[in-house]
Amino acid sequence: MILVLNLIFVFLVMFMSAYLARHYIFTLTALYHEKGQHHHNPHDAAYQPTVSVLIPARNEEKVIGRILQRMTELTYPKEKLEVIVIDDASTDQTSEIAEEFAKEHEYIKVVHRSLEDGGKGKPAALNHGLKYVEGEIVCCFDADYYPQRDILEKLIACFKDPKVGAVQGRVTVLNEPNTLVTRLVALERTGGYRVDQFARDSLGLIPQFGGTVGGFRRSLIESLGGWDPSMLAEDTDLTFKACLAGYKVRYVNDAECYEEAVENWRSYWRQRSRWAKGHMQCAFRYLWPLVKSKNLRLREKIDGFLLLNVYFVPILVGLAWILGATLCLINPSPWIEILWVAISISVYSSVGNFAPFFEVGIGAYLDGRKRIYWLIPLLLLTFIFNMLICTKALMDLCVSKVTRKKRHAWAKTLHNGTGNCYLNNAKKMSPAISHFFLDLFGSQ
Amino acid sequence: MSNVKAKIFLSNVQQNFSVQRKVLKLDKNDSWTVSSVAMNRQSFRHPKVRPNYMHMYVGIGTATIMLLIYFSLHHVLNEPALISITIFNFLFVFLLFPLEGQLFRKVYLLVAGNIVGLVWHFIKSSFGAASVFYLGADTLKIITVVIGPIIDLIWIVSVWSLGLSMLASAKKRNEGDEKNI
Repeated sequence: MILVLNLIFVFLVMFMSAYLARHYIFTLTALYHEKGQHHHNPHDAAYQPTVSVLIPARNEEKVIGRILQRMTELTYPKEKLEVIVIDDASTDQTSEIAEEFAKEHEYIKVVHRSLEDGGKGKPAALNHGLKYVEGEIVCCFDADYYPQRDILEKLIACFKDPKVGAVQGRVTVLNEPNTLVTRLVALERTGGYRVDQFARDSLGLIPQFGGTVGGFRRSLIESLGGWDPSMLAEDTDLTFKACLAGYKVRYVNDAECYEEAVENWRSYWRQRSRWAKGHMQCAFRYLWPLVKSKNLRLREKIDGFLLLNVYFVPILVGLAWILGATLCLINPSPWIEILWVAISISVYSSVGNFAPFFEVGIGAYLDGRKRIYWLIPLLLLTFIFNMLICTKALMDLCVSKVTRKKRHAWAKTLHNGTGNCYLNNAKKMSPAISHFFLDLFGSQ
Repeated sequence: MSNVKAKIFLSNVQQNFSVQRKVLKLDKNDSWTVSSVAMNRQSFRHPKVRPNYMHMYVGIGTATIMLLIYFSLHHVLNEPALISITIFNFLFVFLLFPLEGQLFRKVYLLVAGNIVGLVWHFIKSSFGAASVFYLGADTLKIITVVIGPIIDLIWIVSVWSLGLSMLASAKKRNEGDEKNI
């Protein structure tokens, strides 16, 4: 019995060590990789396909005006641009605001979903919008996002390569100074995008399409059957569908877009719970096809395997913790203390990409941050919180499998538009926040 | 009525954005409005770090000497202490020493980190020794084992982050000085 427990413990620690080694390599890659990302000229007029931007919106009156205003300021040629707002049965002013923009700009269209059809989640709304799309490339932005003016040029440049099926841009937190949760989410994003996604792209692995701030070839997304409404992580689902179909996913770090992060633990729980369940659904669906795939190289398969299982890691760390502690008490041995280290490092990690503390720190360094490092020890809080979230998500999935209830409700993240204050009220910023921004972006 | 409200909202949005443009003096060629608030973070280049191998070798040497001293004192330091100090040295030497910054500062931070680690373990051991009397050996062992993963690494994460913060701040200062010149 003890031997079996020891073997399980060793297996769990090896699994964690594989992740830690992977992320140590990612960190070194982001820091020192000589080749870096291959850049096309972002303003290359030779390659400018028609682009359709989809913006699904459900009760987003506080933020929809901001992104639509931004859409009118994009530098991409307007004759090749089409913006489709999908009003997902909103009951507030979202529809009216979008219609006002549509009246003034002919490339902005609004499509409405009825109260009966709407509100069934983002994938269903996007599929509805896809019916109206005419562009060669389909880009998606959430309503609370705020992109760079030339973001489309940067994203679209990658599609010059016919093997590229999808492109992902960088997400940065807009309302970072608001609460501790937003600051911790910002740390997670830094490690996840600046190091993790960047390194995966540089090493020719599988960068993840995040469902927003990114684009797909229309032909590909149509051939894949659009977004799957039964999946809670439709973005991960599409990533793996595209990779298994033989297409590449690219990540462009320069294509930045600001998001409004969740501001309290309750919203954090709801959002992460959906991500965890969705990721686990994808893991159950794609692990075997990934192993069998002939379109992927061995390193892509290994990376894909680790990526699919990333939301199981907090659960496994918890298990290893309990098991290791039990073994230490009933059958102490020196090698357990040595293996214990993997658990110790793992608990100081962010969860979405499993970025350990050193990866997050280096991401912040590469971003030119000065003070955010003080929050890194607090990653422990989010990791322990995520242990609960992931365990609950797994239990929910198992229950739904047993009871054969396959539908999971789409928990919409509420956006209250507080990020607007950092965009619109520069004059009103308190000195503390102004200093924060100087720290955030560096001074010149 | 709702149409009117929408118009009011829309005009507010547009007004706000026009104010924003005015306040921030946006350059048409600048790609990033928010970055303009924040001093043009966005640029089309990646700040690649050129690793300073010379510093890294010095760091490896310093860390090796310190670890040899610790291993020779194995009767004073227990295994968890040795393991965590080794991890700290590994992460510090291979991730922070090759970064931009003065060698003296890095060596100072490495040595300071080691001292913090030693002090941390002495305090932990002393606390354990003192608590045995009140809690009993078994209870203390359970507590130590259960919260071990958190306790053993918290000083590493904190000191490593502090070191990175100091290097980043120094780098920023140097960049500022160069611009002033």
